[in-house]
Amino acid sequence: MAITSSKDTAISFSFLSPFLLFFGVFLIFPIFYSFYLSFFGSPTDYSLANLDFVGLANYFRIAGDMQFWWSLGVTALYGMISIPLGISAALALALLLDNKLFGKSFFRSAFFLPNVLDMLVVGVIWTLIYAPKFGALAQITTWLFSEDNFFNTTGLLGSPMTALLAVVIAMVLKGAGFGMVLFLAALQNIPEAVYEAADIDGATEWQKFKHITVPLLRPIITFMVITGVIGALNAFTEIYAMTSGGPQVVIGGETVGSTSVAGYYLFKQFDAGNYGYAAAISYMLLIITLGITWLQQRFMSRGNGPEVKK
Amino acid sequence: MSEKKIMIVAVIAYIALVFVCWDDSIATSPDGRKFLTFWHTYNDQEELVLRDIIKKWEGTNPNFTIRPVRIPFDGHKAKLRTALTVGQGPDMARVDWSFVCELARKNSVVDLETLGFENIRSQYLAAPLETAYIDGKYYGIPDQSTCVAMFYNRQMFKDAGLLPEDPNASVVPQTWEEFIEVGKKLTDKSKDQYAFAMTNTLWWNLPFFNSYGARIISEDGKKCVIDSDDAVKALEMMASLVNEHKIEAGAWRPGAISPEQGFVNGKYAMVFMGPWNLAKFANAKMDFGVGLIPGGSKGTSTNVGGTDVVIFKDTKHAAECYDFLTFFTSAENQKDWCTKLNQLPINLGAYDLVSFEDPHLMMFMQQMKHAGPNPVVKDYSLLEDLVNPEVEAVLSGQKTAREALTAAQKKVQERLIDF
Amino acid sequence: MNSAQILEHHNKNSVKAQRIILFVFLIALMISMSYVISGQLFKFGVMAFSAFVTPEGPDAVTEAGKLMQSMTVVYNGLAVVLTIVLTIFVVKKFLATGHEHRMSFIRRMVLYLALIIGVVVVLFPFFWMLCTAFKPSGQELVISKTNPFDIVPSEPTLDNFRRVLKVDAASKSLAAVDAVEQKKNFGTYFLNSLLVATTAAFLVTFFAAMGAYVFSKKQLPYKQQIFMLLLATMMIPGMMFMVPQFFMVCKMGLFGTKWAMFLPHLASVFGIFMLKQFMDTIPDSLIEAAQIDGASEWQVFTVVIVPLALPIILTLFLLTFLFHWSNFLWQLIVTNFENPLSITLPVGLALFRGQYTSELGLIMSASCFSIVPIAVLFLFAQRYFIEGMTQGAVKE
Repeated sequence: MAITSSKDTAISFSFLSPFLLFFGVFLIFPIFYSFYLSFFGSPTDYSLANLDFVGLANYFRIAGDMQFWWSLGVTALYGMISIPLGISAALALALLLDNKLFGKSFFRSAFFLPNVLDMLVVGVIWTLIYAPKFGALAQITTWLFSEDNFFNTTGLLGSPMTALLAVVIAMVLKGAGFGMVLFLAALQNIPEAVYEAADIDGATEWQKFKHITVPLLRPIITFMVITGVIGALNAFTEIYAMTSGGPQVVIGGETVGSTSVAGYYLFKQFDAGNYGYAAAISYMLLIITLGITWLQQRFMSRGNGPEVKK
Repeated sequence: MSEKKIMIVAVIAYIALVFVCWDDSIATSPDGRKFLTFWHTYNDQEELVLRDIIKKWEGTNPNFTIRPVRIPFDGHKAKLRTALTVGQGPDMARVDWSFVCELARKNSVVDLETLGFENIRSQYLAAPLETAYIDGKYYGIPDQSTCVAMFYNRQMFKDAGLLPEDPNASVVPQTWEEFIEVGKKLTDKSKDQYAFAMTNTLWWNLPFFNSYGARIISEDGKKCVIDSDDAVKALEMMASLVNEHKIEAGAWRPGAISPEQGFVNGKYAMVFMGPWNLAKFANAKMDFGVGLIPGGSKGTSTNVGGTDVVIFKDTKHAAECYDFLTFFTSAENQKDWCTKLNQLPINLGAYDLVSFEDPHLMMFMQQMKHAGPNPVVKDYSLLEDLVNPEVEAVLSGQKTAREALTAAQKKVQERLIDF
Repeated sequence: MNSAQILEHHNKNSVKAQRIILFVFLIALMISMSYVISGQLFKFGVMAFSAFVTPEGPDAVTEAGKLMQSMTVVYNGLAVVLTIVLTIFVVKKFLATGHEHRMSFIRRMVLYLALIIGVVVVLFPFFWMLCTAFKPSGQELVISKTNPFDIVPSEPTLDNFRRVLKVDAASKSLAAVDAVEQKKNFGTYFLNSLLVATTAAFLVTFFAAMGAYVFSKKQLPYKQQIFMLLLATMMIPGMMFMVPQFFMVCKMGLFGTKWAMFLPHLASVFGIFMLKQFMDTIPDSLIEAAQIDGASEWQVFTVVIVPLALPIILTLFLLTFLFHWSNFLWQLIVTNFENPLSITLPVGLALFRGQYTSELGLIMSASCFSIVPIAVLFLFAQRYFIEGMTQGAVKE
């Protein structure tokens, strides 16, 4: 027993070794280096040799940085809207296109295709669609109602209440095809026999979906939730391309951007050359996210399906 | 299994491609001359003129050769920052005007006074030159400069009966008060037609502030003075265009169509725009004109855009670099450069030598003389990030001009200047 | 007839009438959609044709516009014919359907219409990109006055494509300067990117598939903990690693080489995670069956796991290719601009963009070219991962 398991371990390591090699060489050092940087102030020249040690000052500064905490809140909201919306859109598409349907391959390809487009191009086009006065949406609403409608005067991206949602919709439509492919592939691994057995027991479609399909797709859903969280935390390009963090709202005298997510705020710090502070922010985000992910994992693996082992 | 075959063929083709084309080195023949590397961001036409000027310079400096290397303007800051980190920077480079201060404060570019710049300093146009003036020293030479002026749609002015009989008379209003008067006549909401459209970023707002004589950063660079009374007046006037007089189209909102696009489509009668759009608008078959920006309490004014050339401390041949750059920006070469490329000269000597057929460009030359100072700070994009949200809060009616600018002043002072 | 019968008859009739009204409404929607969509597509075809046949010259734009104008009948006619054929087809099918199946017919029609609207929305960016690439400089932003939704240019030109491929006047005289300048063209950048992206995609998918197999199906001490640790590293934004990775690449003497473009990104935690989660849905019984048949570890991996996970492996391949095909910031900082052999496509495209002249048409035509290998790859891969998903999978 002990012999087989150590042989197994050796095999596992040999399978993992190419990945670990590159991970060890190119990621371990940067991870520690950026952690190390988070205890230093902004460099005074480009060589990064003359850094002054500031201890935990960067972390203390985060605690009092209103803009950061606000951006964290926006990020949470972004994640809470985009993750469920993204997963349900992908799942709906997958279930719809898993049936017998004329032109199924065409539809699958078409919905996957936007994933290959550059985020900036997508951002520009959606901005044009949403734009007041000229955009497609404004043209339609002006034709349906009057000129004085919200879509024509302010536009979805111009109002703090709707800007984030508008960004989410664009991103969900761009990304839904990717989730769809994952779900479609996983759906093939569900044995037909399980559904047939359920049919014999007289299960309804909804019951079959809830008790067979969803549990067996759970690994994929977990993947989408976790990458969704990471995506929300690193969200930057879509904001940069569509709103630049605006529109601004004044809350208690402080002006804050209604789509200024943490990733965008972090990028601004990084771009300004505040490497130390940016590193501190990203480790702060890591700690917060790890807490959330840990909860997610616990929540998701409750009531283990038969496929989740050990 | 034909699919398997396709896959195998693809893999073989890929391997063959790697063997044939994976070549990282390129042959350059050394000719004994010393190399000076010049990183620039010019386009094809500009690079051709640059190479002509280099050839002329090499004629009088036989021991040196200049190697112009084009890098993308988008990302030239990131490229230079990282290259300097490992000491692989060039001898000299052309950088955005807003980048010179960072380079100087990070101690990586040469102070030009040590090379005798004070002797020829007065040749250059004051406003562009000031972008390279940091902590009492000059660290760069302007090589290209632009500003914005007022573009107006002649058809819309004609329709509103605002085109004067006399063709030499100024069409656009001279002061902001007149501008508002004219604006009301040009605005027709039922046709989605507006007199004016503006974007909300600090650089594009500088013409407003400058026409009231309001500085953003004090002359010594030690203090943010954006909360001055003049600045408040300027911002109040800007906000009144949007909120009180309603002659602005809302182009400053996130997600709105740019002034440029609205102007091309005949929706906005007047926009601020730079000379780089002249050819484009002509291609779009527009009937447009260019005028001076209306004046505030200090008369007409505008912003400064463009680039400066700098010499890096790591170079072994600072004197030769300096010699080339002054040659490159001399009145004689500027004249060639500007006539061939339809650009505004930065050398005052070239002002008298250059004459454009295009009346619009002449108008820009006139506007350029009234250009105000740009804020020079170590991180210009951070300055924009701190000021723009506050201005937007005023435009959307959530703050008064004084409140917003006081908040902006505090933030800039804390996060940018004292940080 | 008693009253109950009358009522039933009446109900039946009104249900029938409802169906007909619904159908007529849907048919109307279909006709307008079909006319608009096919009209735009045919117009695009005519536009591309007239831009293509018009020889280069000062009046090329107007001439191409005239040619297009003269062919208005062609594209409008084609759209009308197509719409009529489609309508007749659908109406015939509907009439041939028995009353009791009509509701399901209508439901299918709604489904198709919804799917097509979805497709139009998600594919619109591609169409917009293509159309903008054909617009002459200065007219990219002009919106048609008669129909704001008509984005096909009425005066098309191939100038943008010519300039991207560097066959216009200014770049020709620049290329004549020396050997280095001659190499600075789209073809070189394209080839460089092709090499970088393909190599990276091969290696990343290979490493990730092996790693994911271990994490999903094999034993390893502290497997869960190691996996969680890997996931945690994914949460740190990649830009934090950029500067230290740049240091390392320079120390290794790789600055300005193709290796530098992708080596630091070969260890893809995202790839391992994605493949692992998919492999979790593969029943263990398949592996056990193979092991009973005497398959070695490597055989289990290549014969059982890889074919089953092929759709996802190909998806990862495509995504990795795409990542390296457009990884601008990293490739920018490791590029040696004195050597065109180290300039990749995203960086090369940025060289086009001047400081002020963000010429949309030029950028879009460059994007059209840069999307070609992705499209080819996609069309090739989609046989496996879109169609193959229904046939290839092993069912228990």
